[in-house]
Amino acid sequence: MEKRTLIPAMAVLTLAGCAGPTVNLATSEPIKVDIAMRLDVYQHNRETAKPSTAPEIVSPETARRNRMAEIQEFKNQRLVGEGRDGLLSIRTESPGEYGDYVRKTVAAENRDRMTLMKAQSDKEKVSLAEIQTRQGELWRQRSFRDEWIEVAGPDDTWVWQAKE
Amino acid sequence: MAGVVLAIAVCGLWIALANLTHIARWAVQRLVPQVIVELGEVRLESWDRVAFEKMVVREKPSRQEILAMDRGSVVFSADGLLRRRIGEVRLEFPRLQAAPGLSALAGSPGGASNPWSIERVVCEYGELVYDGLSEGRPLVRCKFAFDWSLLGDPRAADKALELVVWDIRAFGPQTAAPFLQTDIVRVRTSQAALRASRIESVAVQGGELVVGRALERLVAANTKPAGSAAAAWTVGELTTNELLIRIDDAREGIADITFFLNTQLRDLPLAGTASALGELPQVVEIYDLEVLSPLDPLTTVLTLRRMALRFRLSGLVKHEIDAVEIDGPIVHVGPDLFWYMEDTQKRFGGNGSGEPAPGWKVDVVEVREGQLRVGSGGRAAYGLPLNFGSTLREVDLDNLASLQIEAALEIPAQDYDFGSYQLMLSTERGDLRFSYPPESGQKNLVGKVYLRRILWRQFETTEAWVSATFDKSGINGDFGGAAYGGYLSGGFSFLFDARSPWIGWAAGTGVSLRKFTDVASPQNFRMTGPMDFSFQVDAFGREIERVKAGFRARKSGRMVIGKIDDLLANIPDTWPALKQDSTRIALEALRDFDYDTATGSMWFVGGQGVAELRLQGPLGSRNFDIVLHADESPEGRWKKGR
Repeated sequence: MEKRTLIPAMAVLTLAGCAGPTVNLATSEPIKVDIAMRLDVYQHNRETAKPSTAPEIVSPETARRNRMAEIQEFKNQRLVGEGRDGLLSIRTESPGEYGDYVRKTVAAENRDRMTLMKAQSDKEKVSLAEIQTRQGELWRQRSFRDEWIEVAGPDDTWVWQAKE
Repeated sequence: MAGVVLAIAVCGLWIALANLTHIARWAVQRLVPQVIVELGEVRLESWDRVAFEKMVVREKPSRQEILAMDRGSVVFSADGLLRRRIGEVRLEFPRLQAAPGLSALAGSPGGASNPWSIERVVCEYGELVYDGLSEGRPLVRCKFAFDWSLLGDPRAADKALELVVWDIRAFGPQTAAPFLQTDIVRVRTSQAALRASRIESVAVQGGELVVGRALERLVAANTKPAGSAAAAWTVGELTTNELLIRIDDAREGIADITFFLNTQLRDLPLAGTASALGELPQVVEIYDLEVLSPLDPLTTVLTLRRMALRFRLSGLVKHEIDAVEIDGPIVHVGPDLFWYMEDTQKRFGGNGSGEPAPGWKVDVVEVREGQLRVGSGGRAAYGLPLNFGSTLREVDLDNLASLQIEAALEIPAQDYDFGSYQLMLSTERGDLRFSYPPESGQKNLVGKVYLRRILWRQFETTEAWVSATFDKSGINGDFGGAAYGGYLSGGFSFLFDARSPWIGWAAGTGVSLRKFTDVASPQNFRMTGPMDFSFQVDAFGREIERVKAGFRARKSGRMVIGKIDDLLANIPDTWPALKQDSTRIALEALRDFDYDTATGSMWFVGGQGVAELRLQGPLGSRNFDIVLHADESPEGRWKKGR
């Protein structure tokens, strides 16, 4: 029973209740079956949203959180990398509609990052450039292996490399 | 004739009264020939009372003033004088300047064979100055008073004589502030005891002794033993009560240590009083001491639950401490710790600049139950599963950098349970080596800990080790251990930032898929064969933000989704037979699969992501995609594929 396959088994079952001549449905070679399955798991939000007529204002933090999966997918595909200025940079341009989607998503991500970094700059009373440098360093350190990062090279240059 | 005698007597009396000052000076000179006496004025206030003013007594060879008195009076009677007895001597505001000749005043007038006695001697407010600086001894000022009776009367030999001394201030060389101040000292003795060179008791109540530079200079300068006269005297009982001892450290940022000295000593030589006090073992216990960051006063870099200093005062002036016991110290590993270490090194590092370091030495330093707490700015803290202890001997603190060589902290074998992390650890043995203070080009704090077992949730690693390097930017570590028939190795970085970011990564080789899946998903899902895998984690504090993982089976194996058995057992009987059987066949085909190659990958970000499993075998392939949605929205191109 272990090497049953779907088709012969279903045929046997279909004909089991019928009277008539015996038909041998056995095959000389096991039948190969390819199964592809997608399982979607949804996490139901227990908090019920309050109905509101006002346009929803999404904070940069929330927007970034909602966008994280897209960004991760770009990083997995090695399309984008973490720059020294704390912003994402497109490393490989994609053609067509997908390219527009990547550019639009990265622009939105960088816009939110800049908003957050400016707020941090005001809060800590340090220059925006310093905050960007610190955030760039943090992003570099937090990057996964094989993700693009911009690192300091020789002679005060910056080079892109996959994180080791 | 009688008239003549009377006239002569009256004349003699008149002459005597007119020259009373000279007569008094002569009489005192006769009584105490070792000194020079100067008297401003002596007058007869009544028939039995002589008052004098501005009396000065000088040492004979040097003419150094040893006693000065504004006023005084002597009460007598003719009968008493005939019996060598004085009624009362009252001294007002005497100022004694201690000098060798002062001891002459203490002698009994008239000599031991035919002594005078005094019914009462009263001193209401005296002042004593002893300047021993030129001989390497302190300058002492104090005030005193006494009221003694029957002085010189053998019937009162055992009668108590009490001297009250207050406002004692002792100064060292080149110091404006006194190193010793006392509230009140009561000295009790008797005439008999004095003849035996004995003071019955000395009681010190209140005051402050500063163990600092002044005392150190005196100890260094005064190497000569006490004179034979002083050495002959003994003290029956010496008590100190609430005498505050302050260990003064003049260095900036070093707090003084204070404690009360309450003690009682018996039968000690007067000259050895200071030595006896100095040799008493002392213990100062400090609780809940927090060392704060030099840059952020809200950040703690070191917490000491209890610290006991064992020392002797005689050792302190030589910068020697017998023992330092530290219980429950918490080292807050963060950027502030390294700033603090750098700051300390700059100020006390003994780098040759500025004032030389004081050169403190500790015989034994014992650290027990120490902990490391990793945090960002000392606020968000995550305790490391380590207790450490250490015993160091002959620690030289003159250059704190020397600790770098000595400080190897042992980590005992112990079990740790961190419920909130679902983590259990059993340490095997290990050591932590502090590099303190940091030196350029070297790691600041390096430790390697061996663990018998690590249990995180249901996953177990044995024969593990963790090695960590601490520096200003964070903690970087490596770890390894046996796991499920293979070997696991990885690393982590805790970054010092307000949000406590950290990343971790691990790779496993030759790990048994059967053992792993039996633990990860018992009876629900099993794969077999050895695999290699890797995963990476990106988190802030306890919140995991990103996970990325992948695996590859090294050999062929078999996948069994045991959970499907539950579905098979619950196929409704009410279904048509054909539907039941076809469902059963389909489920069984899905349940079991033999594969030649198996790979998988997954990534999750913020509660959403994708897991993929790709199996290829002789009977086809099985490809599973699991998409975890953070919400019910179908939005998001990543969910749909490129």
